[in-house]
Amino acid sequence: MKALQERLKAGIVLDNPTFVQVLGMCPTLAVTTSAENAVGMGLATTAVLICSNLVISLLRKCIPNKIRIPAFIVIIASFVTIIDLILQAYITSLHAALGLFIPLIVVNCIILGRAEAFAFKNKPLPSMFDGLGMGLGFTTSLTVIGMIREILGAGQLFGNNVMPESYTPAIIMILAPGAFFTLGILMAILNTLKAKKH
Amino acid sequence: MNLFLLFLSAALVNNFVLTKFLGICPFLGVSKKVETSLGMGAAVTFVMGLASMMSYLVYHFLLVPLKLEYLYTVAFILVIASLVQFVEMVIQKVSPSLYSALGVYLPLITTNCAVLGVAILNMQKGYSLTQSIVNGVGGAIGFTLVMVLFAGIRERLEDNDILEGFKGLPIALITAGFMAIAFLGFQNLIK
Amino acid sequence: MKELKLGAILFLITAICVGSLGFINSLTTPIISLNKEKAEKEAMGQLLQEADDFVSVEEIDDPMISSLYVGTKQGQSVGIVAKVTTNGYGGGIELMVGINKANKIMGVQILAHSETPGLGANAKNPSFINQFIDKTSPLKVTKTTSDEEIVAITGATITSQAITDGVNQVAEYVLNHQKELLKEGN
Repeated sequence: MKALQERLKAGIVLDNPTFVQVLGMCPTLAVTTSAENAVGMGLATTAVLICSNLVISLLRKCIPNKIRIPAFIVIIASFVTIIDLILQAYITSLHAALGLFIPLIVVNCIILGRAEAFAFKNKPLPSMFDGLGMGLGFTTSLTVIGMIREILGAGQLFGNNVMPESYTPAIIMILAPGAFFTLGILMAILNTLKAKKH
Repeated sequence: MNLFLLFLSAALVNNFVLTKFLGICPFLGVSKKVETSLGMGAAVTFVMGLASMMSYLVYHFLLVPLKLEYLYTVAFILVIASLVQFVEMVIQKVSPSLYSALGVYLPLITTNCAVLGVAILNMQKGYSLTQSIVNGVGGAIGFTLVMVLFAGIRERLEDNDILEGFKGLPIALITAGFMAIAFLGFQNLIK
Repeated sequence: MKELKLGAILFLITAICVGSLGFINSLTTPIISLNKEKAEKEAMGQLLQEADDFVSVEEIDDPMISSLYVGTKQGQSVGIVAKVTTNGYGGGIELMVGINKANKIMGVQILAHSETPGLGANAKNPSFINQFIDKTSPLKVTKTTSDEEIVAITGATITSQAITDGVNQVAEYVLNHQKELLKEGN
């Protein structure tokens, strides 16, 4: 239980994939136009991360060092395809909203990075916890960015109006530039907070 | 569609980095100097053109006849990974000077989502072989253009007095945001 | 020898992955196509509520209209439903348009689009898309409030125009081919 807690804390706070490790920037910027898409993308990535970490950890003694990268890529790509098919069959609207970025989970550096840095060196259970922690960390960051952009850019949160009638949505927040601004300002705030702590 | 328009659209209007958010990692990672970003851009252009062609051939002559279209993600990433390896070996043998210039960037390209992205986009839009290659090369040239411009701005940012918290990545992201606004201006170029 | 072994292991991993993908694909394919069919049937039913059955029209000599159905009620044709693709701001917009026998638009639905979220994507909202109901083509887009014309979405005139063009296209086609289309349903 303690191991799980530790991995969760590492993933969500200490080594947060988005804000601390700065990995997986493409989906972070692209699918955070609304909180709903952000949560969907985060959970899809988490599912791939848990499965690929588990399988790679189970196979860590069978995969020779030399071919580990191609082996990882094949395993990750397979899980991504599985998630792609499942979403297409059961959650069609989310599949349509995330579009191109579902197959692109393959090249999300977080997944290959965790396979290389953690799963290939650790036992299956801790590896799964690591996948869960990192995945939730990614989901949390995406959701925060998505919420900010949706509130400012559309005056909504998860599709419900939350701002007073008189609020004129700042459409730029939903367009491409808004993604860069939101992430940049959030990172600056975190940096300032960190500097104060020291 | 007119090939020239397709090229313009891939390079400017639907710029990979600033409007489609593909290839952000190298865009932020290797853009500290104009020189390195030119090198990265050249390597990406080369691989993206080849990858567009190869993935087209694999999809239309291997996956479609075998009715294995659903395997496209696995097939494309394997094509790209082996292509990068192959290009690396060839350049090393043929032109050591080019290798020493591009060598460091080549392994990074496998995980550049712009390359896999263009292969999948070509397939989804049903482009022909020529269209796929034009789209791939155009997209890569747009990527290079944006990256070199961005590196130029970042070189100048270094000498400026920036608020402590914004130093490094945050100010780079905000700069990219302003560039994205500028690129929104291209939106009505092609109707 | 050693290289051969490495290759064999990699091949084995790939083979297992591909095998399991094939299995999952065989499970999901029927569900995916069923969903698509169901969504289309549902859209058709909503756009032409009078009809109790739809007959597909095979020959369509308009490249923008991808499929066309004649809605029938007890064997009598009551109108048509057509799928049309029009060029929006961010790419193609796929629409489904229902038109009754009297050339009145019964409804419009957006099936697929890649418009800007918060702007063009708002075309899906009833406040825009329901404007078409009970109107007769050709329709124009306007920026001021109007009961006869289509009021554009703020900041998304191109999207509004594209959708209106698509609807007009279908209406014009139906008007020009009224004879054969109505015969088909009988």
